[in-house]
Amino acid sequence: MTPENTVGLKHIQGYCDRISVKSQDKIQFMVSAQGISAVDAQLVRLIHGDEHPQGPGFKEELQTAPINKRYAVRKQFTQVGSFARVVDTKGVLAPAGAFSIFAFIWPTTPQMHQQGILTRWDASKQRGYGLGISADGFLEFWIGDGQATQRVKADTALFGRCWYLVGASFDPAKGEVSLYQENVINAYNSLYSKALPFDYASHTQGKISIRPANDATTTFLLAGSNETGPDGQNAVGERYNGKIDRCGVIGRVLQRADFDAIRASLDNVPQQDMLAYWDTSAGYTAKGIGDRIVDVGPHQLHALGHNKPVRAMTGYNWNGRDDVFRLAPEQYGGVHFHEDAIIDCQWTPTCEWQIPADLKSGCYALKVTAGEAEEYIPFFVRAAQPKAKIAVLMATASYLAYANEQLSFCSPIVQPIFGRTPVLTEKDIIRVESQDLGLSTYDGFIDGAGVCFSSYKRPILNMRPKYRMALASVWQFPADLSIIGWLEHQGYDYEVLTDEDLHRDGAACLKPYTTVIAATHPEYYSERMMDGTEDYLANGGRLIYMGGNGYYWVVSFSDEEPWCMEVRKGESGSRAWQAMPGEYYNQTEGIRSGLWKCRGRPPQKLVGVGFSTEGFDTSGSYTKMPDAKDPAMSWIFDKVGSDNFGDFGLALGGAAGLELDRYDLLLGTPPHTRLLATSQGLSDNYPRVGEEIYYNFPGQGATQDYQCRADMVYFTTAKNGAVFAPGSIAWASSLPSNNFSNPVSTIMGNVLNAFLREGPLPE
Amino acid sequence: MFQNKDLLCYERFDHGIREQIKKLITPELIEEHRHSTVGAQSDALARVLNYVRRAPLPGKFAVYAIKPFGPYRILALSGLRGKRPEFVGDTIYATLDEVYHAIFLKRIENIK
Repeated sequence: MTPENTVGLKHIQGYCDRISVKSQDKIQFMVSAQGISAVDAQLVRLIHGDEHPQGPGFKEELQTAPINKRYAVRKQFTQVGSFARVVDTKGVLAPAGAFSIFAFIWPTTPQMHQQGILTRWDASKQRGYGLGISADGFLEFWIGDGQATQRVKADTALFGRCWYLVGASFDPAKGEVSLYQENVINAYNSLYSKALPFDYASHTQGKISIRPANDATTTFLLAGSNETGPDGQNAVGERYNGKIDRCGVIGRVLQRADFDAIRASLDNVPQQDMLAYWDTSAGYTAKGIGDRIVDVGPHQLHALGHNKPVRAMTGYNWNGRDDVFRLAPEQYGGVHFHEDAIIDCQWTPTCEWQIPADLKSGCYALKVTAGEAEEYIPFFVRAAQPKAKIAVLMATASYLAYANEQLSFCSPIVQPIFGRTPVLTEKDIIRVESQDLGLSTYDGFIDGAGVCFSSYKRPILNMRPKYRMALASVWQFPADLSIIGWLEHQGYDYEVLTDEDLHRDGAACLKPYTTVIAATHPEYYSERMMDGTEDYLANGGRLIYMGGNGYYWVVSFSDEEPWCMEVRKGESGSRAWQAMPGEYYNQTEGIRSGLWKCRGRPPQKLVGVGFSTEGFDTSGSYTKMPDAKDPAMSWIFDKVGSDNFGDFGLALGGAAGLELDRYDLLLGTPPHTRLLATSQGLSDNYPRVGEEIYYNFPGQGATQDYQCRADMVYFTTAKNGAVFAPGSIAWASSLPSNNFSNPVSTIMGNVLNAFLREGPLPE
Repeated sequence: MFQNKDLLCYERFDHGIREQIKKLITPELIEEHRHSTVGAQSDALARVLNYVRRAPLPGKFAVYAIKPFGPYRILALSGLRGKRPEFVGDTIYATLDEVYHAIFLKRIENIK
């Protein structure tokens, strides 16, 4: 070990329970530390987050607050993985006599390690029973009495991503166990065709001479086994990767014919002696489905999902025709479990604070330090009674999308996309190495499925001031702080809102403001957020969309869990993964996900420009277009004499860079839009976005394709509303150059000053 | 259970493209990279970089920033989830361009 990476041995991580608060709200902070027993907390207001040496550097303002204290901390345990738990205090699922257990399954990593499918099993004490998969990929049933564990194993290995009905019957009087394993493959539901000459079946019989020791406190689990955690707490291990569909426990021995009958029709699931039957397809509405898996048996032992088992997934009986649960919920019984999912760390709060009445709206963080170890836990304070004319809309949905992304470590195509070798820090390595901070919607689970949920109830180490993405620039939140830094430096009175506020309150939260500034990369938008923005513009609102690739993915939030966002990456778009056939609809809200463009709402309709290209080698600049020379538009370029501008900035050296948006009348750019400037100087590391390529052919990089570009546009909306959009993520990172004195800053000042004045704007 | 024969195609293709890439590596191309590690580059240099950047993850080079804006070291990614990268050598580079070029030299050395 070298001196540098011993830094990783001591670190602090934290999160808060709310991302947007206002006066009198309470907020809790959860802190965990490695190798540190006490931390000092200091409330700060964040002013600027990019430490680039050509800019003003990191800026924070210390705040006096009662929360500023020293706190004892420890390493807090995080339960990783999704599973569903049945609390069985009456021991219904701990029969003293014979019983049988069955499940339709679609395993994704059958040969990874021991996995529990349906268990009432304490792996640490070796007590109880379980139906699962052995480390070498075979169906297995086991019983433990605390002294010994006996297992019966199938004689045919399971294929990954193929549907099976599996089960086991236990007859304690005879000490006999019968396993049942048969495929239920149809033309659509599995990786392989039913035409293959494979032997999927196993009907092993074996002897188990002991009885399960069933403790009252042991819960019944779908997709895992109970175990004792590092601090003695109840934890879940032996976690299963894959889908589980309808499953149950019957209080007698089922014969092979009984299992065959279930396989033929769910109508044959035995009612007599039924202890539990989880109908995983029950509970769907047009608005989706939640975490509860319904037991339709006599005891109603419903299972509750933890860390978001994925619903709205195709089941064993999916026919390939009905492509959404709304058409055929009975075909959507698949529940996909992942051993590495994290939604809520559920740490013990370290401290709590009530927002005082006089606290200025802005971007805040609890700064937590111990020696050289440092952590910022950001949150946003909105105005209880808006007074400023300007609101900055912090793109918290998009912050979630990128939360703790592991692209540079896990995606072989990142280096060609970046057009550079990634630049990593010790913090990047810690978060990838620790594996207990969860993944982003740019990552895959260990079984290869895309991550469709992301939450802020966990430390998000790349949503921090100062953080630099591996592409050698700030990204998302720290980049957005350059907008804050500019407003502060120029002396504008502003307040902040978040995507969470916009999703919850719609246009009402934007209405008090004359001008709303959208952030550098507001890529993930819910329908309510789209509606709120469009309604704001339709009623005279003025929007400065300060970035690129915005209004792109359709996402969902539930009102009960605003900290958790869902996206299903569909068949188009620049996407890190693609949802499986039939799984394009969000279980949250029940809407089709994918691109807003594919839902009839291209970003061009809303803000005049939409995603055209991305590149991360260097940024380009802008050149004025004829509309810029029209006297009616001279106010935008007042004091910007040169035709070419923006060849500077903290984001790869130019204002036109990273992800870029283009004017396109066919995608809904308003016809009266002024095309003020366009980008120049981009390399072929800026290729055309995939969703615009119907047939691929050579030469679709920016040096050969004129549509790989950023466009700066302006147009008016109803009732004196307006939109200004420079079409580039890098734009805002040019604001701080030369101590905020530069043409980009001048243009923004010209636009914002005009937008703040009442009355009509020039067209 | 079964062999992934796609890997045979990959190995065959990779052998062929390496031979083509080798022919592009000249002192002039190396000098071009030294002056222009990122951004607009000649077609030949872009072709070489596209090849090395598409390499599989295990052992793939990355930059380690000792401090946010340097100095830097070279890392080799593990390609395995949760396993930290390892340092490659102990050379410390002052600038991003220097470490990028050092990685480039290692990559073309590996091609030869």
